[in-house]
Amino acid sequence: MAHPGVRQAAAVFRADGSAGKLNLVVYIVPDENYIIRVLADPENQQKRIHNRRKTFDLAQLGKQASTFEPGFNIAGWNSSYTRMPIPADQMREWVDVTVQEILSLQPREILEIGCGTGLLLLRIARGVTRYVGIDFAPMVLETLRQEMLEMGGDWNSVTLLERSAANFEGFGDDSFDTVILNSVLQYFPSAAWLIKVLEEVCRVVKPGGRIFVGDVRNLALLDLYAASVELYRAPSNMMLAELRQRALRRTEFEEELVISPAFFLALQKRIPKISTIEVRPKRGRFDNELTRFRFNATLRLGTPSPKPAFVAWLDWVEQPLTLQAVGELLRDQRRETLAIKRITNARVEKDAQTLAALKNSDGKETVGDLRERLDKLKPRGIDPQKLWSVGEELGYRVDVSWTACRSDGSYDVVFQRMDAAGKSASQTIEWPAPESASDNLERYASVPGRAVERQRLADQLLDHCKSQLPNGLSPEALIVLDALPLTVEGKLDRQVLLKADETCV
Amino acid sequence: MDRIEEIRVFFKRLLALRGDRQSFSDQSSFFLSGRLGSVDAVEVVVLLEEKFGIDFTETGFDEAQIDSIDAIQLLIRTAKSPSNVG
Repeated sequence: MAHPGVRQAAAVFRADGSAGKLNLVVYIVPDENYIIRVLADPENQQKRIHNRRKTFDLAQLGKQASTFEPGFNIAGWNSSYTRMPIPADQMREWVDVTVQEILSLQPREILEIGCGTGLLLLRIARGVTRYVGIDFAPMVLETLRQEMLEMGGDWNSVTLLERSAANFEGFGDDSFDTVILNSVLQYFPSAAWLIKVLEEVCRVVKPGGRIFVGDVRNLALLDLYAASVELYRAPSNMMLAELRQRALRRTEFEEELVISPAFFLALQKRIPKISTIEVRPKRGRFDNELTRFRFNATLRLGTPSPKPAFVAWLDWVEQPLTLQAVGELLRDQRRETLAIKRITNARVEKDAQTLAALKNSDGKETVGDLRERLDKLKPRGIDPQKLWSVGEELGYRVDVSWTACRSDGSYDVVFQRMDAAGKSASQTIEWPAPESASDNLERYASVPGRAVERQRLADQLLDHCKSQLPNGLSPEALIVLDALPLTVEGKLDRQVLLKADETCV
Repeated sequence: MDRIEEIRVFFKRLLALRGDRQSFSDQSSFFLSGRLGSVDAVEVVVLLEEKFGIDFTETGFDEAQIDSIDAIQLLIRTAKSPSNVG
């Protein structure tokens, strides 16, 4: 089978259990470069961008959209677990903490890429001299304009532009002191597209300016997320083997761009003008997918960072501390600095256990058994929000980091005592780094649409075979694999191959 | 092929592209069950707009309206009923 999209192929006859006849089954290993080329095709990318834009416009056509108070339109913010809207009080907290983080950057001239219905803009714009909001969804922008009218008052600082995130036409070098990309990266079609946007963002931000990249879905936790959502949705009598397949499929067919914190570390190497990067879990008291699996990153440009101060790290895995013990260390010992690494994250502790159970399942356990086991689990970890609260209450600056990109969601924290003026001695920290680091940015991003294009290739090949070959000679099925299974002698392992039918066309 | 059968084939293909070969009935949930995602919903919306003349700016949009073949049949009937004409 000579097709540029097929790297390897094998055909075998498989017994059809019901009729006792033999069916021809073809297995293919798609060529990854071909799939990437298909995804990068401008027409393909435009179609995906168009479809994404339409999802936002459609959200504004729902009954829910007309019921929100001005300034708080959360249409389309649905839970992956329930597919129902995320409760308003949880979204309100999400907006509050995001606005606080952005205001702490003391912005004056803001460019917001993907301003949506103005959840941030309507709260921030009146306190700054210039706020340019761009969005690609016309109906969404129209909703925002209506909300501004309803809210009344002076919106002279605001300019709204309907355009793609990649369109920087008219924005000169050093035009803004702050650029916001909040909860938009996941809708970009590819990592390459994101890189181009960030390169342009770095061009339009003034030296000393900031880029706030918020609500980023964490690639390091994608497997935890998939296991968590599928466990929630599964019936109790489902076997764990089936649940595992569902979780794997959810990860494989993830349609959004999901980014590792390490992406930003590699970006800093590519764009030297980025002087510091902070990556932290999201603040928030509510337990939801936003606080569990997403992070905020702040990139600072052009300000030379002081040499990091020496920090003596306590290792939480070797010496687990309770929240109370941390509070005592800060309160009683009045330490200048307290740094703890590898703290088990209470927000995703059960999800990590779920994923471990799926990997180690003996094949006999059901979803109900697993849920029972998880209910009995005595939590060990600490919710990072609790450390923020305790430290800040005791007069410390608290920095929490996900820079290490661990796949169990564990995090690192540094408390620095503030003086009477509210300043801490040093704000530069050398965070624990990922175990392996690469300069290849695309390695730290998912490939939206990859799995669908692989299936589409198989569909097209099967259709082609059926149209070209006489009845009986065309394959009954065409199965996509990552690799053909081989025996220890290096020959095709037909026994393993015959069992590989999960993605059968 | 009648038009509802066309929709069934369309869903079969959408599911196949997501590696989902499970069968479905006219009552099966596609979106609320999580078998398909929001981008797939757009594909269905475009099909209904282009082939069935449904104007979602008139009917409003909710994933539940296109969640199953039965729901889509109801949507088509409602959108074309005399009270929604003109």
